[in-house]
Amino acid sequence: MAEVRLDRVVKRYPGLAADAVQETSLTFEDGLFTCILGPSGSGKSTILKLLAGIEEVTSGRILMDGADITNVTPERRDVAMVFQSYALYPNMNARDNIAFPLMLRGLGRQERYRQVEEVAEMLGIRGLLDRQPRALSGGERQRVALGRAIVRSPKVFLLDEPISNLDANLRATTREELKRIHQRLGATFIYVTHDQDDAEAMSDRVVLMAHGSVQQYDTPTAIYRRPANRFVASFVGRLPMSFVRGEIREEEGRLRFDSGPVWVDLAGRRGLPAGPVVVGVRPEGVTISSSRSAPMVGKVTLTEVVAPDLYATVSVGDVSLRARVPGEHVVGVGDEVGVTFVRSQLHFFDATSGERIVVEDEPATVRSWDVAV
Amino acid sequence: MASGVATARTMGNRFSRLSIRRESQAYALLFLVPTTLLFVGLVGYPVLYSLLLTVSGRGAAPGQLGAFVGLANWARIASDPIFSQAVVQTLMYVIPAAVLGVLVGLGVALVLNERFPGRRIVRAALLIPWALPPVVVAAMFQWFLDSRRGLLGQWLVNAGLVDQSPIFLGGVPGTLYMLTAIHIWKTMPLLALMFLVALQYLPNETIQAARIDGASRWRRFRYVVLPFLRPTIVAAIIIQVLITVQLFDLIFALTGGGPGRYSTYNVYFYTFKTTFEQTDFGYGAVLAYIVTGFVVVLALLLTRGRARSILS
Amino acid sequence: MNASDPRLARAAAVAGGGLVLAAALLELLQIARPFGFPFWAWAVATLAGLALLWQGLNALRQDLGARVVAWILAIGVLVVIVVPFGFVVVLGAFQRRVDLLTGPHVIPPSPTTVAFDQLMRIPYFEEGLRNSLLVSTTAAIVTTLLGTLGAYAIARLRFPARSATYTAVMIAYMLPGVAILVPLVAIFKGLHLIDTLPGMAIGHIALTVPLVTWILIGTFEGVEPELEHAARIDGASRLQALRRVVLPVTVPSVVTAAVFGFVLSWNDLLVSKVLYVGSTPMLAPAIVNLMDPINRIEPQLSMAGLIASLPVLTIALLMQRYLIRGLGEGAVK
Repeated sequence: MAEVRLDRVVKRYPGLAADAVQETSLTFEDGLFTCILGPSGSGKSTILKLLAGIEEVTSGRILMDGADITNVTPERRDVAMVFQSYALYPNMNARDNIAFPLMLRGLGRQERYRQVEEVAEMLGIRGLLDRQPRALSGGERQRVALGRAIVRSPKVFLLDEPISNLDANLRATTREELKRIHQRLGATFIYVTHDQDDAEAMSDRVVLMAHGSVQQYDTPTAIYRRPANRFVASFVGRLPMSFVRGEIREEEGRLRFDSGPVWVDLAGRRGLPAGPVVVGVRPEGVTISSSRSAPMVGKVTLTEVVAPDLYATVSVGDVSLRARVPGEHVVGVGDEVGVTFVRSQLHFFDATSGERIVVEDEPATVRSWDVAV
Repeated sequence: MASGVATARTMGNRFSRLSIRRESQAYALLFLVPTTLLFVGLVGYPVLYSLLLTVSGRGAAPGQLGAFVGLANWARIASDPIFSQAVVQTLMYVIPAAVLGVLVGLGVALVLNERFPGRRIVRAALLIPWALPPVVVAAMFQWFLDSRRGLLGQWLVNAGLVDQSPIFLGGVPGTLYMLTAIHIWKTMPLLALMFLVALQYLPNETIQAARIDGASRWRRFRYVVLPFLRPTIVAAIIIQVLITVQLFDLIFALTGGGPGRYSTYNVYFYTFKTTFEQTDFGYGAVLAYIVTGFVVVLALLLTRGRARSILS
Repeated sequence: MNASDPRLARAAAVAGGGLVLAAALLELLQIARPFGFPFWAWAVATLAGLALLWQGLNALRQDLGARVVAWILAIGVLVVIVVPFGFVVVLGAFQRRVDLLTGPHVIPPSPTTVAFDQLMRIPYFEEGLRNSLLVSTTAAIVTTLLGTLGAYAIARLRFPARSATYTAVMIAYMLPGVAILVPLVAIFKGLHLIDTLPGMAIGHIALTVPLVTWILIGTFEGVEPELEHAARIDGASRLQALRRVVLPVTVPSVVTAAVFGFVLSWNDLLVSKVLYVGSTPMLAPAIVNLMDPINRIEPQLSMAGLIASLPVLTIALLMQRYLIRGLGEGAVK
């Protein structure tokens, strides 16, 4: 187990205009399962490669437990990596694949194979040990790759989208297993993925990245509940957040958000500046009711089923809002419905920068960097 | 699972203790030294030395640099009748070889793309001309085309096509054409195999779609297969030109440049003769540079795409 | 040709087939000869027959015509390729000289291996054969070793002047031998390597290294980089990773490259001849010598050709699949 720290790390590839990783300082906490989440091209895999030592940093330092490993060759770092393609050695069977790191460390044959059996037992692949990689299914290969990483008890586990090639059911069970393995080993896991379900299910911390920079570094719940900017807000969440551009005005002592037909009485909310703003609201923050007493009225244009709920897209004026419709109610396309915002579920973002506007009564969002203890 | 007999810091070898960048460079040095020495000594230095030869007169001993003569050797090219004849004859080799070689090769590939019994045997047979040493091909056709006792002549007579066995390798320019034909015999299989492999990459669905659309075999060929093969055809033409420009073994073994004085010369052969039989190294070096320049430019054209991707 | 008229199609197919057969028979039995049947008529008849056969059979059953005609054409290709080689080299080697004076015989009247013994008694041939075997094998091995290391470095390592090195390999690969031979001879003379076996070997190594390196660069690029990364992260030094993971994976391609190198060296005439003054005969110049009318004894020449062809032919036939793939990769990429 180890704490891994990036100190002002930059990775630039020659000939490419934008940096793959912009200056980033980040600490992966000891023993935690940290997910690096982001779309493709966000730099998340690059960070993993830098941590493994198979790419060289352009500037900055990488520290493991305080020791500077920035320029240390991969074989001398105490990390293990599981690749998206598993990278099993085709010229060895599964047993020798898993035993490989032990062999390099000079363990005798008997001892090596004994440890391989232990790991195989934990992963449920004992029967596969004599097979060649090409005779294994995707899920089996993934476990062998995992076994190869586990067998030497490294300080840090690096995982590069190891389950994205599996089908959905297998992914779900594998997530559980990975979490269990993490709990059992207690090592620092750094897991790269573009799938937020992975982050949700397994991680203690999430680093959300886009365009080479960290957008937010927080617990999964915090990222969901208090997204640091519009990008984070729109990336996370099974169904997208609805955004409305408008203005906050003071009217009769109460703040009011206005954007044509869409408006919300903000009551005594403090800390919100007057002026242009973008409001974001998740489907669970938009309530549908009968049109008579609701503050806003709209027309249903689309319905989607994400069991057990129904989600309706409602047009209020020229603004589209997505609302969650609790199970008992049924709405259909074309229905006229009343729309209300749940005030506590509103997120406010600066109209130009997209940064979150922190409202006074909520705890500060942790953004990035050194979580100084 | 405990392990940790050795800690990570002790893994690897001496190179592993270097920084990431230096480790890569150290191995590069180690791996490339012998090859680099070889290159520099046996390729780089000779190329430069050749350049010096082009501006030197006759040296004291063969291969030695003589007095500096400026561009005199180069100027000779313009007024050398043998050179112009060699250039013309080079074209006489290259153009039929490229055109016929590619056409016949394409045809053979299309034929072999169909499934029929014995297909594998024919495909294996294609390797024969390609694998044979050129001198063996020369010896083979020397007898095959012999006017008195050659097999081909005899069969033509027996088939009633001619009254008497024709002289294949004696006339001007007949001999050159025969050499071209023999050269095509040797190189066509390579081209056919290139096309055959390329055809394997043509997705079956595309052909099926064309069939479903009602295209006839000819149309399928013209509008689906041919465009798909265009890059391969270009590559094949360039490769065939490259090979034919450097045609040497057949000429040397079968005719020695004759009949007559220069009737089967190409520029490459002329270079050889000038350099090694007339020992005119300065002029020979000039000729060598001309041939080399042409070949290198053509070959760079061929590999341009691939090179770019590697250098990035 | 309308597919909906099977009788017409069948008639066409039969007519076409008949035409082809008739033309072939007429030629074989030389029946038409006394009547002065001209060649072009025969050619036209054959082609017309083939075309009718194609159309007819195609109309009857999808693509059958194409397949049959392809088969006939393939036989033609086979004949053109195999006949000169088969008769001259294979059969010719086992006939007696006197028999050959009376014209070519499809079936040797008195097959004999006497040519082989006579051939082997010619000193420059026997020595040439041995030398070529030695030199080509050595060149193949050394070139593959050097080429593997160099190609790996160029394909996978990062070092300054990497692109320059790659360009150098590429240019060396394209360089015609003639361009470097003279200075090479001068260098060798200085080192007293002319007309010696080591000198010949070095010359052949210089000849084959660019090609083999070039092929192997492609090979190493084709290897998944993650394999090596995984091995190193597991604790292997680069050397260990190469030895235990990368090289085992590339063995078929490395062997193919070695074979290409061997074939290039074995078939070579220019370098072998230039570096040979009297003491190091090689196979190719020896055969040219035997082709000289003064020296020419047909069965021996055929036998020499057969012997010279055997190594490369057997290799080619054994390694068909790899060679064709190697050719194809060069072409398609």
